[in-house]
Amino acid sequence: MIVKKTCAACGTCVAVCPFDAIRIKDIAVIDPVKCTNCGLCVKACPVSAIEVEK
Amino acid sequence: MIKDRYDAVVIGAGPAGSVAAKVMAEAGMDVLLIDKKSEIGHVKRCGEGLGANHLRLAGIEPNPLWIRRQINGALVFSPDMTKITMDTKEVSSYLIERKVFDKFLAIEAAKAGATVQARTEAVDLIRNNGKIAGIVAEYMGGRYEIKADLVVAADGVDSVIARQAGINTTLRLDDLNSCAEFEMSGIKMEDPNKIMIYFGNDIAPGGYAWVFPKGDDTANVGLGIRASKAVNAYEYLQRFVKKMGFDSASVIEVNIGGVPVGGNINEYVLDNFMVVGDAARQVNPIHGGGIGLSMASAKILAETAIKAYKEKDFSKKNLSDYEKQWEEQFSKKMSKLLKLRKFAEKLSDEQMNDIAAKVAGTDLYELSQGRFASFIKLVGKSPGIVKYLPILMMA
Repeated sequence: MIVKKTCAACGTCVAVCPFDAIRIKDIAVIDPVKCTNCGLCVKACPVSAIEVEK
Repeated sequence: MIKDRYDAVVIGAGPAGSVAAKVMAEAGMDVLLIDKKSEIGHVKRCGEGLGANHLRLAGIEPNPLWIRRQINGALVFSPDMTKITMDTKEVSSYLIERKVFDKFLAIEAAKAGATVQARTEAVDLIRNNGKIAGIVAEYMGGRYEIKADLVVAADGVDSVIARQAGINTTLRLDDLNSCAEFEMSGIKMEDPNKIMIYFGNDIAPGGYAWVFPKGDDTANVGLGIRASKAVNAYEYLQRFVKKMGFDSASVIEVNIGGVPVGGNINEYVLDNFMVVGDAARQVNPIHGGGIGLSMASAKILAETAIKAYKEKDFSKKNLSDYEKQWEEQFSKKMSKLLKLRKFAEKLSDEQMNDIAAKVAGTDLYELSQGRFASFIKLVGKSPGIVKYLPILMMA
């Protein structure tokens, strides 16, 4: 997952992450070990700041 | 400065956390209230509307310090822009300045004797024989262990502390409204003393758009979309701003955030632990408002905690009064509202237009005061709606 500069640090991604893989440190920081690329945070983000890494 | 032990640590100085800290401190409890933000109340994730009844319920006097606008009703627009007017005649709600309001409440907590510390983040829980016994906090690069008999998680929609404590607060996309809002200056409004609400599956799928006046030509212009139905609230907001002809107005604030609209969670207390506010999903599932519910819940929470403090028993069993009272006072209503939400979100634009056409021209406020007979005639063709609308008006 890639977090873009668009991130407003609102924490919506944290609330939907079933794996508790995201923390807000100025912007969202996703733990690559916990993350399963399920994409829920991508859908939840109000500004589409999270993208699946290609 | 922060000590290493308190009776209670409250995480998050939003309306829920500050009210809980204030009430507990007033009863003589030694309370620490922390917030991870450098400035309490900022950045906010909020439309800033607050019902006058909610202030009364929380025992807070309306204060010009944080009231930007007095509101006396609503204009509701269907997808084809049919207008429904709700004139409450008297002040029914306020547009508040959250960054001032939140600070005001935190100061109230401090005045009551609580210690308030900004820019302090709870990063972990301390456990003693498996039971929660305090928190690990970070402040200005330092790490501190703070012991407490009670930890209150009031840390918002993205609460990680409740989760670490073992309460499942993970939101499903269907229970989340993803929101974007501008505070705009230089816009024209038909009636800058009424809030304006816009429905439509193109405008805000699974939610609504709002124009909440904060001044004669200034308003919060925002919307929420259901995360399971659509992505990128910000793009919807840009389209809405254009549709409203606000493109040339100035943007004073940009607000982004998520609102939990799924109703009740499974548990609100553990041994030595309680959760409140957005973290406990205490938000009205219909309009997404949470300040009033949060403050009312925080009061119940604090009263329960005070009793536990006097009895020196912070066990889950002893704290469960909070959960019971929450269920008695609010939970049933939440479930009803959730049903209404699920009903309303199935309406097509045509159905919304149809309802609006029937209701337009009547005084909805009077209807909500009990004149349902005439209303039933109005929407006779859509009997399903009749049983839900009275609830909607009370929401």
